[in-house]
Amino acid sequence: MMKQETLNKIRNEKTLSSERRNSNMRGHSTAWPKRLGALALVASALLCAFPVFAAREIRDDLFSVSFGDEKQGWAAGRWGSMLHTADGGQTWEKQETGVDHTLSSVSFVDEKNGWAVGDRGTILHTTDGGKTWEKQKSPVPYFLMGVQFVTKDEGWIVTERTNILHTTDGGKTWNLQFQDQDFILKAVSFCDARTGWAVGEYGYVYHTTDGGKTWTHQAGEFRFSEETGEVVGGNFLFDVAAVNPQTAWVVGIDGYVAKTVDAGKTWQKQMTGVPKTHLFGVTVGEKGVLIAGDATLLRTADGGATWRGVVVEPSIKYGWLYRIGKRGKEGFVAVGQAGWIYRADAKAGAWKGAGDR
Amino acid sequence: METKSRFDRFCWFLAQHQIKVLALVLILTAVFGVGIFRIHTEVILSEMFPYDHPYLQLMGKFSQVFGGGGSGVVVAVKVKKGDIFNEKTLTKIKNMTSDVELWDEVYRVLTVSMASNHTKVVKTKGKGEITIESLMFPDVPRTPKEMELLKKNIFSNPAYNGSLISRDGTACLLVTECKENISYSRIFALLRGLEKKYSDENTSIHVVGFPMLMGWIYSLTPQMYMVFGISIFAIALVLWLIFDNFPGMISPLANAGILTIWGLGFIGFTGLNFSPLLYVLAFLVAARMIGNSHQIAYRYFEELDASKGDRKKASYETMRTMWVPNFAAVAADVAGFAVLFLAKIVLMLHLAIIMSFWMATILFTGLLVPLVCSLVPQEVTSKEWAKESCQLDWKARLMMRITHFSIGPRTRYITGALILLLTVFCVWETSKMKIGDPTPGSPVLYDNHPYNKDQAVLNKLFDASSENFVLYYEGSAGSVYEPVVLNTFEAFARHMAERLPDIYKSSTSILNMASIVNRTFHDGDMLWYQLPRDQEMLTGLLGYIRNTVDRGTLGRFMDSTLERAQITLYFADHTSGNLLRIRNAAYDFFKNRPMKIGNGQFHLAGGRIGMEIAVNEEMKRSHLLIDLAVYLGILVLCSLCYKSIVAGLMLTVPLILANSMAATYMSIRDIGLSINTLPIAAIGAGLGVDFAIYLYSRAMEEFPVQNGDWTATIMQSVCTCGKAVVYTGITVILPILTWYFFSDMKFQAEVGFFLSLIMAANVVLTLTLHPLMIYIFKPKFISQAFFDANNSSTIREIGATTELG
Repeated sequence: MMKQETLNKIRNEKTLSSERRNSNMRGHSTAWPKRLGALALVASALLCAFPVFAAREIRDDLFSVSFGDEKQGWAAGRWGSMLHTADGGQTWEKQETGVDHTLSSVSFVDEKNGWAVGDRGTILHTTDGGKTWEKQKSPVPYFLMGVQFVTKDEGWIVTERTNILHTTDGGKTWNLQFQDQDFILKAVSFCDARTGWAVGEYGYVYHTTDGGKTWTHQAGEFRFSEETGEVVGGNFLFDVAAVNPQTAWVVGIDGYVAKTVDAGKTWQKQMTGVPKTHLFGVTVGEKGVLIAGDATLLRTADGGATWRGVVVEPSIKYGWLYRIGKRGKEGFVAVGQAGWIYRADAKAGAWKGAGDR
Repeated sequence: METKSRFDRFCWFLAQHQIKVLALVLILTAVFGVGIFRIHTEVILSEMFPYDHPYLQLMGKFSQVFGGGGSGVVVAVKVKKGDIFNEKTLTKIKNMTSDVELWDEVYRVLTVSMASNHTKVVKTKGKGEITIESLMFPDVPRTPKEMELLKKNIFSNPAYNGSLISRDGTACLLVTECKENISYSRIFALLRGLEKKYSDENTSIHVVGFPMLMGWIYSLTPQMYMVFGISIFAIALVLWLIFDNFPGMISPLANAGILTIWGLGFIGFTGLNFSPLLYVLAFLVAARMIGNSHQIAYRYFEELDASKGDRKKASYETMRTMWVPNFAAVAADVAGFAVLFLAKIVLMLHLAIIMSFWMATILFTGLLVPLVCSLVPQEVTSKEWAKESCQLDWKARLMMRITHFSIGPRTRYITGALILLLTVFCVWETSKMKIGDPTPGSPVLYDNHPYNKDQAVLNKLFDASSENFVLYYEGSAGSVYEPVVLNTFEAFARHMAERLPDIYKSSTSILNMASIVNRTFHDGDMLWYQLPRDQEMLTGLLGYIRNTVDRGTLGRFMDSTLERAQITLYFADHTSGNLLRIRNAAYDFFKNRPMKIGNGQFHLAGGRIGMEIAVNEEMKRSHLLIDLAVYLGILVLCSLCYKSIVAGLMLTVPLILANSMAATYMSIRDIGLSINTLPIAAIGAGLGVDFAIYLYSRAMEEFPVQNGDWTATIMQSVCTCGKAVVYTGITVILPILTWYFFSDMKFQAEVGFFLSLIMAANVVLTLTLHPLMIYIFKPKFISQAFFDANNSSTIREIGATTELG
C-alpha cells in the first residue's frame, strides 16, 4: 500500500519534472525537477553519516580507450587523467594533459596523432603520441561527449544539447556542423569518412551518409502522452558502433541493445538475457560484438543470436566498465571505474586485469 | 635560651598549646571537607586545548555553524568466519540498530547502519525513472537472490563500500551521535550491554568514540581507589619499618590525610573541574606530603632524643629548624605547578591554581607533624636517634660507601665522568623527544586495552576515522554557490589523497551529494558523478539540493545563508609526525592557489587534527618556557634561602640532569609531550630538590661540629641526613610506583614511573653528585658561619690535612 503510494508519487513527480526539464533544461535554469527531491533527501541522509570519496591512492575513473596500433594505446578519464601503454595494454603510465576536467572520449588515428575531449569544451590534441597535449578551441562551451577521427584531418565531436562539431584540418578549426533539440548526444561512430551515427538520450539516433553535411533523425522521441500525461520516449543510448554502411549497434539503459542491418531504417532489440542494467559501451571486433556496462561484460559471436558472459579476473561484480577499445587485430582493452583496466585477446572470452588492476 | 625570632616565638606558642591548635586544624579540616562534595570530576574536551590558538578560534566559530562533533560513537560488528551476509548476522545488525535508536542518549536521526530505514538505494531506469528503496529495511534478505542484490547494492556504492560495510564484507558499522551533557558512565553501560548481548562465538562487537573512551576511563575509577588503598598500606608499612613506632607511622599519614582534605575542599570551593586523568597528580601531592612528613618526623625523633624526651621542646625545635628547608622544598614544588600558568590551556590554568594551593599546604607539615607526634607519649632509644652521631648500620655504611666513592681522590673522576657521560646521553635523547602523541589509538590506555584494540580493528577495516581535518570557507552571502569554492574543496581532497596515500582515508562534504544528484539527473551516467564546473549548473544543483534536503542534514556542510561551507577529511592516525605531514600538505596546497578569493576566504586546520596540531604547537611553545621558568624559580628560591647564588646553582643544575633522565625515559618509551604529560614534566622539574636542600642544611650544621673538615662534614651529613633522604625517597616513590604496577591506565602508569624515576634520580644524585660538588666547590654558604666565628687559617690547615686517603 505504502509502496504503491510512493511509486505513484514518484511517477507523478517524474512527469512534472520531465516536463520542466524538457522546457527549460539543464544548467541554464534554476527550477530543478522535484522528482529528485526524495533522491537528494536520501542521498543526504546517507552521505552525512558516511564519508565517501574513498581512495587509498588516486585512481581515476576511466571513460574511454583508443589504440593507434596494436601496441600504442591511450585511456582517458576523470580529472584530465590520461594513461598510455606501449605494450598493448599490459602496463600503463600517466601522461600530463594539463587539464583537470573530465575527459570523456579519446580517439587516435595512428601511434602519434590523437584527440581527447571533455567537460567545458575541452579539446586536446597530440602529434607526438601524448608526450605533449595542446588545447584546441571548441566553438561551444559544453560537455563534449564523444570524438572520432577517421583520418589525421577529419573528425567529429558530439556534445550536450545535440551539437555535432566537425573538422577537416585536424582540429585547427572546429565548426558546428549540426544542432537539434536540447538533449545529450553521448557517442559518435563512423565506419568510413561518409557514414556515421550519433546517439544519445531518449533513444535519439542521427545518421549521415555524406560525412555530416546532413544529419537525419532516425530514431528516438520525447513527448508526453496525451491520454496519460506520461513521458513517451526512446530508451537512453550510451554508445554506438558503426560496422559498415548498413550495420551498427547501440547500447543503453536497462540492458538495452539494438542493431540495424539496413542503415538504420529499423533497429532490432537484442535479447541478451542480462538483467536490466546500464550498458555504457559497445565495440565490434572481427569475431563478435562486445558490450561493457554496470557489472557487465558481454559477448556475442554470432551477430547477437546468442550472448555469453565472459570470464573476468578480478571480478567486476561490484563495479562498472565504461568502454572497450580494439588494439588492432590482437585483442581488446576495457576501462572503467577507479582506473580499472582489463585486457583480452581477439576472442575476448577471457579478460584479465591489466595495469595495476 | 637565646633570643627568639618572631617565628621562633610562634613555634613555641604552637608547641605549648598543641591541643587547641589541633582542634583549630580539625575545624578547618571539617570546613574544607564540605568542599569535597562540590568537586566536579569530568573530562571536558574544550579545556584541553589552547584557547587562543587560531585553529581553536576557527573551530569555535565554525562549530557553532556546523556542529561540534567529538561525541560520535562507532560500533563495528565483525564476523570471524565467512561474511556478514547471512540471515543471523544481518538480523543482529537490524536488532542492534533498533535498540540503539531507542536510547535517550543518542540522536535517533543520526543513528545509521545498513539496517536503518534512511539508508537507501537509488536507481535510474530507462526513460529517466528513478526508484528509491531502503537498503535493508524493514526485513533482512532471506533468499540467495535477495542476498546477492543486497551485496551488489552495497559494494557498487562508494558511499557504502568501505564506509558502512568493510570492503571484504566481514564487518559493518553502526554509527550514532550522542547528545550533549549525557552521562558517560550510562552510555558506557549501554554500549557494554550491547556488546554483551550481540557478540557470540562468531561475532565480535567493537566500540570506539570519545564517549566510549570516557566510559572506559570512568570504569577504572574503582581500580584507582584500589591502587590508592594499596599504596596507603605500602606507605604505612614502610613508615612502620623505618620508625618502628606508632607516632612515626601515624603522624605522616594523619598529616597527609588532613592536607588532602584541605586540597580537595579547595578544589570543590573554587568550582574548578578535576579531571580523572589527573588523579595521579593528587596522588603525587599526597606522596610529597608523606615524604615531607617523614623527613620532619625523623627530625622530631632526633630532637626528642636530644631533649631527653621533652616532647614539647622536641616539637618546638623541629618546627623551628625544619622551617627553612621545608619552605624551600615546598616552594620549589609550588613553582613547578604555578608555571603551568604559562600554558594557554584552561586545564593547565586550573591545574596551576589547584595544585599550587595544594602543594603550598604542605608547608603546614612542618608544624602539624611535630604537633601530632608530640601528642603521643613516646620513648626513644638514644642509640637509634642520636642526632649528632651517625649510627653505622649496613644502610648507612652502604650510603657512605657510595658517597665515599663519589668524592674519593681517584674515584671522583670516575664519578664525574660517569655523570658527564650520562648528562650528554640524556640531553641527546631529550632532544629526540616528540611533541604530541607518537602512538596511534588513545595514548591514555595500553595498546592491548580493549578500546585500543577496537580502534585498531576499525582502522584496519573501514575508511572512516575519528581523526578528521576540516577546510572551511567563509565569504559573502550566497558565495558558496561559486564553483571555485567547491572545486577547491574537491581539488584539496585530491591533493591530500595524493600527497598522503598512506594515511588519507576519505572525505565528506556537499560534493558527494552534489555528485550523486548530478549523476542521477544525467541518467545515471557515471561520467556525471562529479561536481559541475559551470556556475549556473552548480547554482541550480545546489539550490535544488538545498530546497529539497532538510536543513539539519545539509547544515553540516553549508549554512543557510550560504556564507560558509566545509569539507572534512579523514586520516588514519594522529601521531605527531603525521600531524605535521597533514598540516604541511594542506598549506602546500594553498601555495599555488589563493586562500582569499573574490567574495570570501578559505580557512585551514579545523577538526580533531587541527585541534591536536594546535595543542602540539602550544606544547612546543610553552614547554621550554615552563621548564625555564621552573628552573629560574627554583634558582631564585634556593639562592634566597641560603642567601647565595652558588647554593642556588648547585641545587638547580643537578635538577636539569634528573629531569633529562626522565625525559630520556619518555623518549625511549615513545611517550610524547602532550596535554597529559606536560604538567607532569613541569612539576617533575621541581621534585626532589628538597633532598639536596636537606643535605645542604645538614652540612651547614655539621661543618662547625666537624671543625671545618669538608670530608668529615660531607660523610657525616650523608650518614645522618642521607638516610632520611633515602627513606623519604622510598616513601614517596613507593606509592607513586604502585600506579605503574597496578593501574590499567597506561597514562597513569607511565606518569607513575616517570615521577618515580625523577625522584630516584634525585636521591642518587644527593648521595653522589651533591657531595662531589660540595667537596669541589667548598661553597661559602656552608662554611661562612664557621669561618666568621673562628680563625680561618687554622681551619684551612685542618681541612687540608684530613684529605680522604
